Amino acid sequence: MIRKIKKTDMIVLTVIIVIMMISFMIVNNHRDGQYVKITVNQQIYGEYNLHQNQIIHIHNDNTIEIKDGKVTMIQATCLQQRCIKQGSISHNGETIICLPHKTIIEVVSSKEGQYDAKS
Amino acid sequence: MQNHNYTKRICLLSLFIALAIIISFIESMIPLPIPIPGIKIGLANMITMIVLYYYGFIPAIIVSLLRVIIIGIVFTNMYMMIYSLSGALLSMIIMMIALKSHLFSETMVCILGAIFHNIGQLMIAIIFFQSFSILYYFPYLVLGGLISGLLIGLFCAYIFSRYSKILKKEQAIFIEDNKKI
Repeated sequence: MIRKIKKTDMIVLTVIIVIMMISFMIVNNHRDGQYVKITVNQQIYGEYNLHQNQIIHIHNDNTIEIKDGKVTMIQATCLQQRCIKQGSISHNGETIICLPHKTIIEVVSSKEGQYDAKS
Repeated sequence: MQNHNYTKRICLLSLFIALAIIISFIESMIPLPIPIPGIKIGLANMITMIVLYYYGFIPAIIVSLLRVIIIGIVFTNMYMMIYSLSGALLSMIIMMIALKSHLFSETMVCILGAIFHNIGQLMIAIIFFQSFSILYYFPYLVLGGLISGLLIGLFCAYIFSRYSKILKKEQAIFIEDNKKI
């Protein structure tokens, strides 16, 4: 029924899976983050302490909640609401991304420069 | 007579575009529980695969790009259209190379297409956001492409073997018409 699987198929498939495994390992080096960095439209919107419970409104488009060292998107004006479904993040390097509003919420281990929270 | 042949060609391609749009629309109504931006089932890739295998590269790229543009105008916004457009373009080029090399089976061509569709979107996202933190999603996007590509590819391979007679007949007519033009 289905034509034979070729040898090159298996080689490429193995390469893809190996690349995937390696990148998974690079991505998932779990370290607890310290700060939440919010970037809107390529500009840093603000950096917030991860261990301080608060609710942040970003340009009336998105609302994120920092609670118990975890960041969650709780409200968004976009159509698909994917950013809300991404759940909460707490580890270093994890991100919540909102494509329609060009917003990145990233957990970082240390503050870059002197960006004070605007709150 | 010439006009007649063009009409037939246009009809055939628009039929495929319409099919692809309907499939995309149906797909957009299926909720996915995966919270990663840019992941979708990619059912419309089925149509692209059929056109690519039986009608050639140029018709396939026309069908694929027009589908993305029409879907972008009608259902989503400009940004989403650019994402899909870059993904579709990259995946078409990769699929064409994979097909022309005669090294891979249909399923593998489809998997490569799906993975590079996601990678194309990721590249555009990096340019848009001017940030590499999006690379966090790279492994998830590859995994998503692998799974959806595998499913669609197996289904395509099934269609190709099951309906090869009809498809080849249509292909012969199409090639003959092209010669007349």
